[in-house]
Order: sequence, then structure tokens, then C-alpha cells
Amino acid sequence: MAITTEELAGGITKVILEGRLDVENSPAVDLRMNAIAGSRNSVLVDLRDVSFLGSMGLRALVSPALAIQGRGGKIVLFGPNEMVARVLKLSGIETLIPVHHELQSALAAFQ
Amino acid sequence: MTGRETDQAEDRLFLRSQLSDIAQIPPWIESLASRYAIPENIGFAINLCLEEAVSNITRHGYGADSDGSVIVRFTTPKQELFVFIVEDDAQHFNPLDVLTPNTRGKLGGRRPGHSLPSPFRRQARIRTDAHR
Repeated sequence: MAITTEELAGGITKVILEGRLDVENSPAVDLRMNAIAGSRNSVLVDLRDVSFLGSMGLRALVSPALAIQGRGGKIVLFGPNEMVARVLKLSGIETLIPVHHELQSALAAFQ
Repeated sequence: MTGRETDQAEDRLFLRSQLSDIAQIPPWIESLASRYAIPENIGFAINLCLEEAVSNITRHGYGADSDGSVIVRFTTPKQELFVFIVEDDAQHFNPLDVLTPNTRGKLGGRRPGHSLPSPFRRQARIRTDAHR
């Protein structure tokens, strides 16, 4: 599981996740995401290369999201594949964190 | 003992109650998917259910015991019907024994939390979808 960050215009931090967000990988992602959430107010999470999302992976997304939103910041999920999108929908996470399938609309959400 | 076993009747995956053993599930599902033509979305859902079930057994059922046994059995009694049975010797847990009236209400209303809905509910959904 790889996690990289990229600074975009407008003070947006793009977090790129690659691989499986499962029981094995999620604790490391959780740690890193919470560190990012502690210092950033606009976070775009790129899920295009996430092939699996389990409940531990959801935790790694929700905990930092609540921290960012609690400070008045914004976090947006972008580009989940069909199956990952279904997990986000079934779990109700998409009601807590906006999910966008196009980069343009994801970026526009920060305006 | 951990690992896989196959005979004519069923496939079995033997795991110990360690979170690291859960990494054996995806390649096992991939192998079953290629042999039994399990569609990708169904394979994904099976992974989701098994990861949830086995991690709950390991973390909550066995707790500190890292040498407990978890066996996942797979059979396909008829075409496009895939049955997975998870067996363990962990202590029993019935949520209805410990829920207060307050938490019953919360669960009944499905308030969003940090985890997925019950895997049993999800299993029911998968079964429905697989037969559409």
C-alpha cells in the first residue's frame, strides 16, 4: 500500500492512495492520514488506484475526515472504482465525506 | 496449521487468530475466482465479508490468544451459488445479550459510524445481487 502527497493550487493537499485498504495495510495509512489531517484543512483523497476497501480502511478515511471537518476544513474523496464506491455508499460514508468521480468537480468542491 | 486444502467436495483455508493471517484470504479468493468463474464484483464482496468476519473473530473472539483456529470452507453446491462457512472456537458473543435499550435504538436506526454495517446484512445483499 503506497501513500503519497502532492500540493495543489489553492492550498489543497492531494493524498494518493494505491493498493488495498485492508486489515493489513490500513493501520499504517490510518497513522499517516491522521498526521496529514492534523496539519491540513483542504484534503483531496485520490482513490483511483485503491483496489479494495474494508472496514479498517473506512476507519482510516473517516477519522481524519472528522478531524478536518471538526476544524472547519474540507475533505473530498475522488475517483473510487465501482466496487470501492459501492462500499462507500453501503457504509453510509458518502454521507459524511463527499465522493466525486471527476477531478474537476472534486476540485470545485473546495471553492 | 495454516494453508489451503482442496478435495472434490470443498476448498478450505486454515488460519490462525493473527491479523497477519488475513492476508491469505485475497489470494485464496482469487484462486477460487479463477477456478469457479466467480465475477470480480462478487469476489470483492466475498473478500469484504471474510475480512470482516475473520478480523472480528481474531480481534474480539480470540483476543490475546494468537493461536486460535479459523477455518473458512468453500463449496459451490450448484452453478453460481458460492457458499462460504467460517468456523472458529472463539468465545461466543451475542450482541443482544449486552445491548442496552439505548444502543438497540441506535443500531435499529442505522446511524452512521466508523465501520461497515453488519456483515450478515451485507451477506444478504450479496446473495440477492448474485442472483439478479
